[in-house]
Amino acid sequence: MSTRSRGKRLATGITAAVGVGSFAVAGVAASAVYAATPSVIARTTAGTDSSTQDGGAQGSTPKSGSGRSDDDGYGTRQNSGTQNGGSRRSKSYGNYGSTSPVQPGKGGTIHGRSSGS
Amino acid sequence: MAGSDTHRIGARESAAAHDYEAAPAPTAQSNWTVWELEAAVTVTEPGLLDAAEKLVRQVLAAVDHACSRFRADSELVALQPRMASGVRVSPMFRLLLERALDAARLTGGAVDPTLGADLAALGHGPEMSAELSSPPDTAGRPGVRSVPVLPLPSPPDLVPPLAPRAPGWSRIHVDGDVLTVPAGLRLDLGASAKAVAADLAAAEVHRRLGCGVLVSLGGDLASAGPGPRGEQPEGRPGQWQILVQDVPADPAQHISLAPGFALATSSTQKRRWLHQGRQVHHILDPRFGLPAEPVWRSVTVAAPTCLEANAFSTGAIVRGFQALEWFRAEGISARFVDSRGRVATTGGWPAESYLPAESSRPPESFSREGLHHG
Repeated sequence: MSTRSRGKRLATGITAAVGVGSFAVAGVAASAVYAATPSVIARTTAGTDSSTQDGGAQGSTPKSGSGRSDDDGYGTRQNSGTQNGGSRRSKSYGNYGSTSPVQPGKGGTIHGRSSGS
Repeated sequence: MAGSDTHRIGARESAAAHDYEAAPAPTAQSNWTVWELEAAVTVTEPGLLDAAEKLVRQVLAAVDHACSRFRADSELVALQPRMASGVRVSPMFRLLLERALDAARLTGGAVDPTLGADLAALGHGPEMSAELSSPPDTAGRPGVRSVPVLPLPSPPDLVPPLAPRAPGWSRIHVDGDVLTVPAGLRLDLGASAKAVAADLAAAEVHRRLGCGVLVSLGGDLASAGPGPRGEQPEGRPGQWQILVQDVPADPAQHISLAPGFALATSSTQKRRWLHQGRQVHHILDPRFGLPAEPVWRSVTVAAPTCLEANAFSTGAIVRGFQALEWFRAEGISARFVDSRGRVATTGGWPAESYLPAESSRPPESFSREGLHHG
């Protein structure tokens, strides 16, 4: 799917969200920027998703293959490792074999708190 | 590096202090202040707590010496003026820089370590305290997050230019231990340096002491070794129990973090200040050098390392609404809290299952994909 089509689909999904709630109000402006320069980092592995329903604000999300081109304005440089020591990108995210990084809390002792700083 | 007010607690005391049910897990925790943030180390062997804290402090001191902007003898302060002509850097500095560049690559440039001048132009720097509009306990100070920069003219307005500018991070050159940064660019290793410090500290404690450890630096968490014992049936390794909540008014969630993983939260609610009469925050969109639109109050990410978690959480703030699709495609485990307190999840992040009594619920629910009560 072309980046333009993906951007249009994203914008469509966000438009639908406006009808449901104001969640997308702020997102419309942000997504407009990205719709103009859409693309996603090249995937290295299949992902997982906790979602159980479809038709959300993002529309149906791709499950494989999307790739980020170099026109995203962030200066994506996928193969810059020769200069700076190489990317450490070798792991998958969300699927760690039998290990799930995050599960529901068990209650009891709290060992730490994650918050912004 | 300032560090003070060490406070040690065991698991039972910790539980009582937070009004949670006491649990038998034999952990011990020490808390203190560093970089004007709360630092904490929790170990699975209480007898090793003092040694663990010492190791963590040593790592933090090394990171601080490499990239602090608050000390004249830091490597960054000393080298910044000469970086355009190439400077030799220490192994620690090089490590922090390379990890910052990793963060840029992981996020496709949404996280960029060359935004020091932009932050200064927005008034984010050592002298920003007079302009802070938030209470001191939430505004904080930049700490390791910023580097010293010369004052630059403020932008006439916070309106993004029509065309994105050339990315700075891709113009940094590292050849062995020689670093060259183009004139006009100023490094800010802060976001990634804190995360790397947590990773290094956790790894060092486990390597030297052999116990399980959880290190927290201002809410970014890294773990190493086994999890806490005694909370799992049938001898299964325990998991770290974490409360995810940015500010008290936000929806809270209690999650279990698998040993060896890390967690980071980026927020648009903290480190805010007034600039030209407008509220701005510290997470900038590298394309424009201006604060990212605060689509999300906070984004929390779980990943194998704190560096990755921090990079993705910061990148999600920058990419705004589009970050949901990005994370779903990548399978990144994350929790988003939007501007109205509603929660979206990706990559297997669990549904809300436990809320402390004092936490607040979001104002309304979502029925769509991946969106639910916090």
